[in-house]
Formats: sequence, structure tokens, C-alpha cells
Amino acid sequence: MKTIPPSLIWHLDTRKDSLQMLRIILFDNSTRIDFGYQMDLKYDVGWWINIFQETHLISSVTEQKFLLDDYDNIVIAPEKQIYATKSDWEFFTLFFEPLPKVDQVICMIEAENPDQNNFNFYNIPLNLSDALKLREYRRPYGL
Amino acid sequence: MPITKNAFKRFVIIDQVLRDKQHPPTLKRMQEVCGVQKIEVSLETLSKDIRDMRKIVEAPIKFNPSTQKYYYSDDQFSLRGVRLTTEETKVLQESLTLIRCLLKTELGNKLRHAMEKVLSNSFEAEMQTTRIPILKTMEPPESRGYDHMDMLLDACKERIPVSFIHYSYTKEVFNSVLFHPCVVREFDNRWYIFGFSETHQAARCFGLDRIYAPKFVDKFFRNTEAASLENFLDHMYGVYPLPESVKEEVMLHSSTFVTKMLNANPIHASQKVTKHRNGTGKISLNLIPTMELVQFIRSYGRDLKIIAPRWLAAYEM
Repeated sequence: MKTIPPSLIWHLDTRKDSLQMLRIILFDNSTRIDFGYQMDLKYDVGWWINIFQETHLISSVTEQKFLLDDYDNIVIAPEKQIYATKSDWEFFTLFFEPLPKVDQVICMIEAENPDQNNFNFYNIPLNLSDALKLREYRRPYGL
Repeated sequence: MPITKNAFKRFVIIDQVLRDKQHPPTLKRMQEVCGVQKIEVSLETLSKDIRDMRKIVEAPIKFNPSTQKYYYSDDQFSLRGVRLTTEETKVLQESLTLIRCLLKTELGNKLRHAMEKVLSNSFEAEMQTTRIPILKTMEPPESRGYDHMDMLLDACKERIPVSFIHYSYTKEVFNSVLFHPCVVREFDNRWYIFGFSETHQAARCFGLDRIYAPKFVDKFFRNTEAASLENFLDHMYGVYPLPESVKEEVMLHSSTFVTKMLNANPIHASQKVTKHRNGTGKISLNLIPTMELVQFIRSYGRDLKIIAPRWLAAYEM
């Protein structure tokens, strides 16, 4: 019987200015990336964030682009998520097509020719030896 | 869903009819028996009662469409269960109010449902529609992170490590945390989880409102040191100890008014009050100083002052 490889979790703290890439989870049918965004003091009140629909992942083990499938707590450009104060923060998640569960280095590309505002992250190592395994869990009856 | 006294009387009649071997157990027969007992009821209401019996007391009632007869698929089923006295029923009803207030979780819902089921088996169950509550607790609006409560309770009970994202209000940064939770605690209407943080390599407490996207992790569970847990549960007022603080004696001076207040409502189990002749007091506490303790003391302004230790009196939040 073929065993299904478990979903894998990597804890990260990769930063681009006030954006933190915090966690990557490789599921069988998607790749989940969690981010934290802290409003930056260098920006004026009324600053905003969003993400381009073209955002994708690339992996060192394949030439395939892994496209953005879904998102949570962020908006897609040209919509804007506007912040009211300099202490605002947001936790958001992007879902991409599933990456292979192998040792690899990945990049997240929001824009091929990025300016300072694009959320491009480069050379993030995903080594299987560093990964945690996600545990599937169903509530026991009666708890 | 609470059951009224009248509905329960009809449940008992339906139960009798289903067990009666002399007459066909049909809706019409149930209506006849109700009539004999001076209970006027429509066939529609009886049909709804049967649905409620299936749902609320899990009565295994089946219907045979060809004969139009109802029957129990399990003869062992008992509607009566445990009979409660009037006093026991009242105690349970009041406890239900507390459960509704305090446990707005799946666990709380199940407990409430189970208790309502027990109550439904009592003839003493009262009409609840017009009752004004006689017990009322503070019910703050549901806070962020409370939706993780069931999962974190499961993690504590089943000893499952959890991966989550934490946001620090003070440092204004996020952190991914690998955590081995052991207890969920409420303080001042806020919820916290305490356990061993593998990320920090120490026992830590996190507010549920600052936790995002918890996920169970398949990993060996690490226990929290018993001493750390005891400190957290028994030797603190609040949940966030001040840096480097240890259990020690904290002395306070209180005005007449606050002395009376604290005499009636002690801050901590270790509290001792010495009253002066003018009515003011000296309050002694033996605990680990926390942020919450300092905030509490300062909320009384001049009426409550820290005398010792000196470092705590001078502590700047």
C-alpha cells in the first residue's frame, strides 16, 4: 500500500522591510505561506498593502511556476488594504500550487522586475531534515 | 434546547404507547391517550414531539410507513433515565447558566447539551421561556483567538505540540512558535495558554488573542517543568511575571476604603491584612510580582501603595 507523505511545516523568519515570511506548509494539494505585516514607521498614515495575482513560487528542482491559488486576509491589486495607524498589523496567508516534498530552495516572486514595494523573497531553503510534520487530528468523541 | 414540562409529559405518553403491546402504536393512539390524561394535542405536535425525542434524548424511534406504526429499534432505551429532585434540577439549571457564560466552546456546547438532556428527564423541568436569570456573570464580547480554544484544549489533553504564529503587542513583531501546551487559563476575562516553548526553550504564556493559525505537529511532546506550572497556576496574580522576578513578600499600604475592599476580596490566596487603629491597613502577599499585580495596585492610585520590595515600588511599566 502506498503511504501518503505527511504535510510538512517550516518555521521561518525571513524579512523584507516590515513584512515577515513566517511559516511554510506543504500540503498534498497546496502550499501555504503565512506572513505577518507590521505597518512601517517610515510610511505615512494611510499606507496600504496588496498582492499581485501574478505572484508565484519557483523551486530549484523544477522549471515549473507554482501559481497563486488563493489568499486570506489580504487583497489582490489593484484593491488596497489601507492601514489607519502606524501601529497596525496584519496576519495573512497565500496559497499556491503544491510544491514537491523534496529538498529545494524556493523564491516567491510578486514582480519579475520588482521595485522596492514588491514582496519578492529569494533563496529560501526548504530542507526536509528541518521540517516538522503536520499531525492530522480528529476530535475524540466526548471531549 | 430546553424541554417544557408539558412536552415532557407528552414524551412519557409517547413512550408508554410505544411499549404498549395491546394497542397499535400510531399517532392517533398517542392522541387518544393524551386525551384520557386531559392533554389536548394535535397530530402535528405529536409528530414534532417524536422528532424532538429523537434529537434531544436520542430516542431510537423508527416509523414503519406500510403499517403507519412507530416502534423502538432498541428496546433497552429508557426515557426516564435518572430522576432528579427539585433541588438537583435547580442546581443543574443554574450551572447551565454558568456554562453558557463561561464555556462558549464546542466542549461547552456538548456539556450544555448533555446537561439539558439530563434535565429533560426530570418531571421538575420548568418553563424557561419567560424566566429572568437569577445568576448572571460578566459576558464580554468574544475576543480574537477564542476560536482556537477547542483546539488548544485538545492539544493540552492529548499532549500534542502546536505550531502557531504569535504577534507581540509590545515588540510589534511576529514569531513562529513551536509550543507544547499544558494548560489553558482565564484571567480577567482573557484567555491564555501556558506550556513549554521549544522556540524560546523555556516555559511561556501566550494570550489567545495574539495567536494565529495553530496547527498540530507530529512530534514528541515535552512536559513543562512542574515548578513552572505551579508558579503559573498558584503563585501569581495574573499571567505575566515581571522580568527576573521570583516568589517574594510584597507589602502594600492601603487606605481605609481599600483595606475594607481587600479584606472582602483578597488579591491572592497568600494575602494577610493587618489593620491599623486608624482603619488603614498593611497588606502582605507572598507571590511572584506580575504586570497585572502592578496594574491592579496602581489602579487604586493613592489608596494602595507598594511599600516593599523597593524595586517593585519603583518599577516602571
